[in-house]
Amino acid sequence: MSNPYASKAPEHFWKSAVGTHAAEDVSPIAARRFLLAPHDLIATAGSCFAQHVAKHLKAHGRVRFLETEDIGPNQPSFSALYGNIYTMRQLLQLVEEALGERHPADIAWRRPDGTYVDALRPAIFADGFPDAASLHEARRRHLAAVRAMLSGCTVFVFTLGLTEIWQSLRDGTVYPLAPGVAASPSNPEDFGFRNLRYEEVLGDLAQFAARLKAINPGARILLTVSPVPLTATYSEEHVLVATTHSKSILRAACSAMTEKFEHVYYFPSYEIITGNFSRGRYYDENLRTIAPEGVAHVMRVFDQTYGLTQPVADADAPPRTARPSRLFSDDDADVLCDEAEIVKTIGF
Amino acid sequence: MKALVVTNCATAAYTSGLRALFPDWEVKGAELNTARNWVGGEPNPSFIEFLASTDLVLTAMPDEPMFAGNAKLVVPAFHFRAYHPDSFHLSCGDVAIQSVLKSGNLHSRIAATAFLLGMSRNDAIAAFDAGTYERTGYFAVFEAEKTELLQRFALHGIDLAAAFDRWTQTGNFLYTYNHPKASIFSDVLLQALKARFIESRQMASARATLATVPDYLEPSIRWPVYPEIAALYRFDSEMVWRTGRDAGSVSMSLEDFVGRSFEVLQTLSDISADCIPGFAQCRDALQD
Repeated sequence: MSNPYASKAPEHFWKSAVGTHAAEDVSPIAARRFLLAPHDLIATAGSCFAQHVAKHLKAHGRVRFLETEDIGPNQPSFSALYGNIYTMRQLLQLVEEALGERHPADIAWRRPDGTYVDALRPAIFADGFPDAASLHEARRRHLAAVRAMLSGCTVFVFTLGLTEIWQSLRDGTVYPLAPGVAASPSNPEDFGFRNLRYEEVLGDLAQFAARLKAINPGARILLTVSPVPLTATYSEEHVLVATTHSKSILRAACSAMTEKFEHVYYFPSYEIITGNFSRGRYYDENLRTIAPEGVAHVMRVFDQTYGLTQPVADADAPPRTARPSRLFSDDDADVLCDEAEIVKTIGF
Repeated sequence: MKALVVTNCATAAYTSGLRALFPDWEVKGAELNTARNWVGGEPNPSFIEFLASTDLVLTAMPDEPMFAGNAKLVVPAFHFRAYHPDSFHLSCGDVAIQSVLKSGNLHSRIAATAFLLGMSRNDAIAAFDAGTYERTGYFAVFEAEKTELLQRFALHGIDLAAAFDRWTQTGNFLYTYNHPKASIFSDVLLQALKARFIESRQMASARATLATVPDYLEPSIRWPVYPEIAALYRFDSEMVWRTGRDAGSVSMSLEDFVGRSFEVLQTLSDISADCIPGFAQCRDALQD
């Protein structure tokens, strides 16, 4: 019997794909991928690492980044003003709320200075709201923007951050920050900590994929896992162990999703940053946030994977490949046939 | 879900294809020039209303101003010139010169170049041979055309590589260089919809569904794959041109076709080499 690995390509072997490469040349291009087109509208959401993706796409020029709300210079860079969304459950609840199916009971939290903060996006408005009514009005506008984002995007990029959540014990609403971190609810005893299990994470992802498909049948979902370790864990585990626990669940759930749903894809930003080939230099001094060099590597592979490596100037023009001659007119692609037999209209 | 197809001669195929695949969708289609007229010179309220409310526009022309507010599925225009490298759309200035096929403005580069060089009809007819094709470069365009076609669609997320290999195994899959047979439009539509509106496991049944879509371009004009070119790609072909159904589906031999082409060209006062892409190469080939 011949060695079954003999038929595998170089990228399937550690030595030829990783071990003998300089760190910056390791390119784990996903086997399951699609090509981004100039007219794709890309929306992003997720944990803080997702902002790097958003900023890269905004500046790219080859693709269109979807923004359905005006994002200020000091506000998190996503497609709408939802701020960091660390878990799929939080995103799923946002979708339900945007569709009018969910009405979180307690989102107007009062700060010590007397202003109110939207507890579901506490870092968005630095000055807070003078009263609960203006907070709810801003949220109503935000939810309309979320609906527009969901229905308008052709690609939705979501970066999963962690599995630990703080939620309302009354209605299950998941909050991005623990009560007391950015503001305090009036009834802190109504909130509790949970660490989502693999089945719950996968279930939330599957629900979201199905919901988005119902809203926007043509949209693709691109999942990534944030390589940023947990700032802190509320579990009983060491934060390093808790980080591995969270990331492992998220990473495994992504693979399960790509196997289950054709319109769901995974991009390995997590592997690029955490892979040992970089010998840790893709992290900043604090060993937690990502260094620009690491972000650049992720985006370089992103561009290679999704066909964004052509020069910007060529983006809107059909590719002009070398031809043996100038036999043909460049206008051939624009010909509109006027043959008599062409059926001109259907349905009008 | 509402979908509007506005593209070129593929409009009917894609409109009917979407209707067949998604019976619960409301799908309508209009060829681009008609659509432009309906939002401009002769407004069509029915079209304008549908355009405003549609969930998706399938088009090869995403930059058309009328689509500014719509979600778009871009499916580029189809053309592949390796099987019909001699044909081209002839215009002098802004005037399209009607083809001897009675519809459209498709002409022969060899015939037009021979005419401009003052060659006789018989010499022009005799020039349709492997030597002229080789010297003009007609045998050398396949790979570049294949690459260009695949890239043009890949740029919009449509992977035609596997489908293209299937097409070439079936022989000639075109009526003219930009009129593919119905099965080609079906493959293009399926690939454009794959993983977005259709999952892989549904592709076989979707392909079977699309087999019911009429071949809308079959009644239209035919340009032959010249036998020497067809032989290179291992299929047989006859040197027969055909007008469209509305012009009587008249078949023409090479002699008839060149004779009629010369008659058309003689009526033109301002035809020049500039009207003929690839004139210099063809001229050199004919004078060799």
